[in-house]
Amino acid sequence: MNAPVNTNASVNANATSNPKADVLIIGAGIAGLQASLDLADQNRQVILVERNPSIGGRMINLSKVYPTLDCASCITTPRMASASHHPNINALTYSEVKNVEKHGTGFRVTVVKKPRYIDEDKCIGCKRCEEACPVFVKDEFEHNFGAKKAISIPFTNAIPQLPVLDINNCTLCGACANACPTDCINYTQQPVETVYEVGAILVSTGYQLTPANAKPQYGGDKFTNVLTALQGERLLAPHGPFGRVLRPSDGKIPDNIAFIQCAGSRDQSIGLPYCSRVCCMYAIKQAMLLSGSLPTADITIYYMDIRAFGKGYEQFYQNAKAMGIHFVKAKVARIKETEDKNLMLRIERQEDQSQPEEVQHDMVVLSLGLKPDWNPEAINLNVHTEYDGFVKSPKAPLQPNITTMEGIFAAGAATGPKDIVDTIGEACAGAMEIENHLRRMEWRLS
Amino acid sequence: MPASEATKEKLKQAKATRGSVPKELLEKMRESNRIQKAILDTLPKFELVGSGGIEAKTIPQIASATQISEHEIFWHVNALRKYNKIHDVKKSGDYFTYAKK
Repeated sequence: MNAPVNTNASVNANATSNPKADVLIIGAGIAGLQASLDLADQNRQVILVERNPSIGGRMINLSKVYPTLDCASCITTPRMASASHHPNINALTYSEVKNVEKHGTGFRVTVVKKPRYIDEDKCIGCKRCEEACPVFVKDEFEHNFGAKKAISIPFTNAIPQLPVLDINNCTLCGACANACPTDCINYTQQPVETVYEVGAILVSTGYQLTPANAKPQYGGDKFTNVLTALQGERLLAPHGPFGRVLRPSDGKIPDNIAFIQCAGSRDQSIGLPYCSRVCCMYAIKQAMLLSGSLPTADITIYYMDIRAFGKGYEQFYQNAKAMGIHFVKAKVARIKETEDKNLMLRIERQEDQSQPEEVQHDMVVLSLGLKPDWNPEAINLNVHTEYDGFVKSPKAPLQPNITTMEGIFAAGAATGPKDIVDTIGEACAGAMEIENHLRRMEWRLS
Repeated sequence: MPASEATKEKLKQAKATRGSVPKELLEKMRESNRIQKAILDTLPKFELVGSGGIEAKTIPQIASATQISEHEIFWHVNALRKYNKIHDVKKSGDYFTYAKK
């Protein structure tokens, strides 16, 4: 459990309103976690700011990673635990950066800690509040497939193990307060602003998927059995919302599943002309995992071209073909829902005969593209972005972490779509760049 | 469980700060409780499954018995499963069957 900001010994606080640290990292996904651990191990004081109630980012939401098919949370959880226990890291969860201004050789950063409506010092993470709460709401961690209570710990291995009360769905019945053995529920808690003084900033804000309705002809926001790629990940996760792979409309075991590639990227018409770099591989990975879970299911990937550029990726692709996954070079024009909630795809093959044809599947996963998840210009940073909204790296590829503003660095998918391997590599490089910068600036905490 | 004096005081403060709870929210909660009660009333007890012709039920069977859409039933069955009120029993054709604990 994290101590509150002003009493955390890992921050060298001159005053309660101006605690000082060497580095502030925005985003505690895999890039932010890796960079914070590298810097903290070099004895730098790090403030790690995460807008969600738990650290871990997107990666903790994934089932497995490609091409090794290692468990994603087995890679992420140890880093989450190390970061939360490191004496040089102050992880501020459920907090957002509100403002950044230049101050001497460093920066002044205003961070707003959103109310969880509990006293974090008193809470022991016993979940009795969650058991007692009578209100069921959609669980964002499960991309709305699952349910949670209006007061709940975000997910099983969340760090910190502290609940958040969804005040907008709270009926003020008092059940949680009655059940709490430490009297920690506070229905009137307010946001808290703290100004930090830091020597450098790392932007590791990651990505978001393009909206499911980016291409309305695919019905991503209308048809229950058309899933986003991240929903596909949750279905495949060992502790996913249904406990196994079932289709969301009626709990049927699907036996004919399609993946549609480039469903949210490489398309001028939706303003995303670039390749999102990871979709081919994550679709192949999900198809292989599905094939393992549902050995008799037909799995088809409709693609423009397969981009398997990383180490071991081509072999991974060949393995998927050998497992019997169908790769069909075709463009999907539209999807229609049938009465029994199956999906009729109108496709045009790009090999052999090119007559349009209609094929039926009972579940479809859209390989959506990646967009930046944060706009640095929104908080008065002089950090420029590229035409696509990702942070501009003027010295890439040799120094991809350098941004257009001295002292502010970026890593991971904040600078462009990239996979986990490249993200971790870039985060390590970012930590080195920051260390060099702090030495050059002769930054001192005292 | 009746609210303790401390809880009553907290709720009084919260209502003074936030105003009263919106009617739509209370209505949504009632509807959710109604669906969950209907599901639990429809399902047999796990211990009784297999005895005297009692069978666990699939999502379409629960939907048909309760006259609620399959999608909604499936979401609530998983909610109840997560909070330990429902067991999944076994595969039956293309579906899994469920029973209450």
